[in-house]
Amino acid sequence: ADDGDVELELETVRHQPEGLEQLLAQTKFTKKELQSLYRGFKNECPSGLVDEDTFKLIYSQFFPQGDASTYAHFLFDAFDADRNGALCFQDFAVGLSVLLRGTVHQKLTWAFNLYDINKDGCITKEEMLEIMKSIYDMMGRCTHPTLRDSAPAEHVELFFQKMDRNGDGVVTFEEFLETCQK
Amino acid sequence: MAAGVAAWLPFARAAAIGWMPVANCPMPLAPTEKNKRQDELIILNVSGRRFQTWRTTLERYPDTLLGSTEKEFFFNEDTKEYFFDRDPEVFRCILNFYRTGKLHYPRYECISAYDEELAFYGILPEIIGDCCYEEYKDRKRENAERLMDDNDSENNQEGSMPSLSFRQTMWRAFENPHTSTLALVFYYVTGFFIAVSVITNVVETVPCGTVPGNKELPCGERYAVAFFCLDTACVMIFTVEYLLRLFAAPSRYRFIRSVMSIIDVVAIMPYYIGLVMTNNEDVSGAFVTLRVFRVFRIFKFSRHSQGLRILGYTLKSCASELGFLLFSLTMAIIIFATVMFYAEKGSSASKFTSIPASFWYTIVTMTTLGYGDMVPKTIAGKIFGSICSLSGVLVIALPVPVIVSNFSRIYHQNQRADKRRAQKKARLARIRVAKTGSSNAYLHSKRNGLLNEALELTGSTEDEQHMTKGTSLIESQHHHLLHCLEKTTGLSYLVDDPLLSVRTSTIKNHEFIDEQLFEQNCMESSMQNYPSSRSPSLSSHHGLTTSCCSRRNKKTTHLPNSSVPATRLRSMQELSTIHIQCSEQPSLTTSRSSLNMKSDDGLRPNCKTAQITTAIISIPTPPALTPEGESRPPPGSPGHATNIATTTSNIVKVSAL
Repeated sequence: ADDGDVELELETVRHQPEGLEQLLAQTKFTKKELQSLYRGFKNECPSGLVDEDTFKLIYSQFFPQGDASTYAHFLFDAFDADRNGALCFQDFAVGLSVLLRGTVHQKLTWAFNLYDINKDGCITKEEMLEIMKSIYDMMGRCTHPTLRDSAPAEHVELFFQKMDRNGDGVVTFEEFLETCQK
Repeated sequence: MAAGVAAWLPFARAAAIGWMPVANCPMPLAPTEKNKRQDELIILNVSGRRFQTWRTTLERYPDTLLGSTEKEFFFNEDTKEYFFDRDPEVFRCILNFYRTGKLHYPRYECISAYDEELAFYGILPEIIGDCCYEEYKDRKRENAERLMDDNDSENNQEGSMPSLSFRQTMWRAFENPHTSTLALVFYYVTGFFIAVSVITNVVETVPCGTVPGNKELPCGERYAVAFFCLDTACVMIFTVEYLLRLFAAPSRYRFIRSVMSIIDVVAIMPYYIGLVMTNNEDVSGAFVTLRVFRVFRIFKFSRHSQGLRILGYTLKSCASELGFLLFSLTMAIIIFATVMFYAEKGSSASKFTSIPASFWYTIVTMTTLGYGDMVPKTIAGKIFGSICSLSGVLVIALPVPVIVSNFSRIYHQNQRADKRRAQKKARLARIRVAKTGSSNAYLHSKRNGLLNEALELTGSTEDEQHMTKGTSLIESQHHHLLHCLEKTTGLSYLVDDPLLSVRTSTIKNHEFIDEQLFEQNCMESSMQNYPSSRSPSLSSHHGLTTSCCSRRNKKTTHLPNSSVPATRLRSMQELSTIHIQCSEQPSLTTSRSSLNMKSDDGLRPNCKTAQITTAIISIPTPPALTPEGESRPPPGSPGHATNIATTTSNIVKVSAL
């Protein structure tokens, strides 16, 4: 009953985003772009907040063959800057602004944040493996060549060797930046 | 992909940056947006109600009318909006579909109207959301059944069917005895013989007086010969009927498998088996059993009785409920029989000798029959007995309402079908009266027209005006159509004025003039009130002029009413181009000349009627059929006339709306 009430609250609460001017200041979008973005956002989520299940549902529609829910989960965590379990338009717009209009440094920061699942500042092999598996899951089973179960692990091995310079088993932000900018 | 989700696609693409650090191969290039348009609002004017939406909203579904370039056909340049002459209420739902991705079905809307709108906008009804889909499908099924009933009854009652083969007529006679008197006779004869057969079976067993020897004999043995003859006669009739039905059936295999045919076979088989078998003591027992099957002949009555058929159909449709009833009863019987047996085991001289023996008690008690041939004597037995009877009432009462409601639904459906059939007859009769009314008006106007034309020869114009005022545009166009038909076939509608018929024969020689004036009247009236750009006969007139005389450029100048707006001219031009495609050869001039070059100058009495003459031209009578052809002065070569007849039939089609 408790969960039901909370969910109900989430639905009935209508979250209003920050004003247009504030968002203009925080993001690199033009007014028209923000307007168009908001319209699409509000259409899909009239309450103004996207919870994780809705997010997974939306994201899965782009990848019908595979299972996008795990990756969507990581993505949700990456976007949900204030960790409140729901994406508001501000999170959405700010995140998109970084991805579309940000500098390479900003984009890489965002990517690092995505890979760092527990947000402790460094990527372990297990974290990378998780991400890799979720990416491969999105492909689904019907691929050519056929997906081998060991493929994600092999992929991780390859990249981890490249990234982990000092071989301490974790990839820090600097190492990540260095490898990617090469 | 759902509409709203498409809005998130840029987001998903942006999020793909997350894959780049671990990508094995370089990412493919992003597709460039060709001619990226600023999103704009478009106005959709549906019967006066203006809807506005973004262009991109509509383009989410490119295979529908609104989402594709098909809507450009409806674009109105003057008001810069898309105009649809359709129902605005339904359009609301349609537009919501584009906005939300979910199509709803409003319950107050008629199902066929809704379907039509969906078909117009190119939307598949399967997309209807789950919330409304069930309702939609139910109503659609109901409507389909209703229409099917109507169609069936229509087919059955149509007197004038295309010639059927003998087999098909026979089958129709069997299925519906009202089609012909012979079928009706056959129907009653078979019904009579079924009754006779059933009664014989019953009476056979009645004891009928004694025979010397003090033995009471049943009638069957006393009058064995008579009964045998009756039986033979009945079976012969049934056999003949069965064979005839088998012969006439459109699908013999299906007929053999049908229930009625099985009943027929079961009804007549015992007789033949009895004939074949010798009067052997061993098999006579089996023979007697076979005679029981003769009672199945009573089921043959179901062909004669609608109610029986409904009952049978109900039972079939309630098969699952009946099955449940049976199953639950069986369970209860077994339980209670066991309990009663063990409860009564103690008492002496108890009738409950075994559990199967207790079944009889349980059944009798549960159905509240209570024969009393078996009663419990112990207290425990009595307690369980009472529980048994109470639960019996409940178990039986449960599935019964379902069966009853099913029967009621089917029965009412049937009644509705009959009612609709009766209503339809009345409706069709009224419609027929209305139609004849219109054609009567045509004859009336023709009469008037001819009289006026006769007057016209003397040159009075007042009557002409009088006539045009009398008929509306639609009426005059309809009359023109009928006139065209007359001319095409060379026949004419019967005008019941004897005086007029005399006059028509004399006027035939001047038929050209008659047509001209008649058409002129039509043209006048149609030009005076020009309601819409879609007056086909008018446009087709102009179209005809252009094609047959290739005087397209002169077309507009000849119009007496020059207030025809530009758009109509354009539409007329369109029609004229279509017209040209359908026949290369020019149509006849009234002088029966096929030569286009021979312009109609000589035939034009005045400028006004120029179009009219050529219009009339396009409605020729095949020269061979009418005597007028010869009587007319043909300046041109009549040899071409036959050629024209075939091609002008095309023209007639266009002008005939």
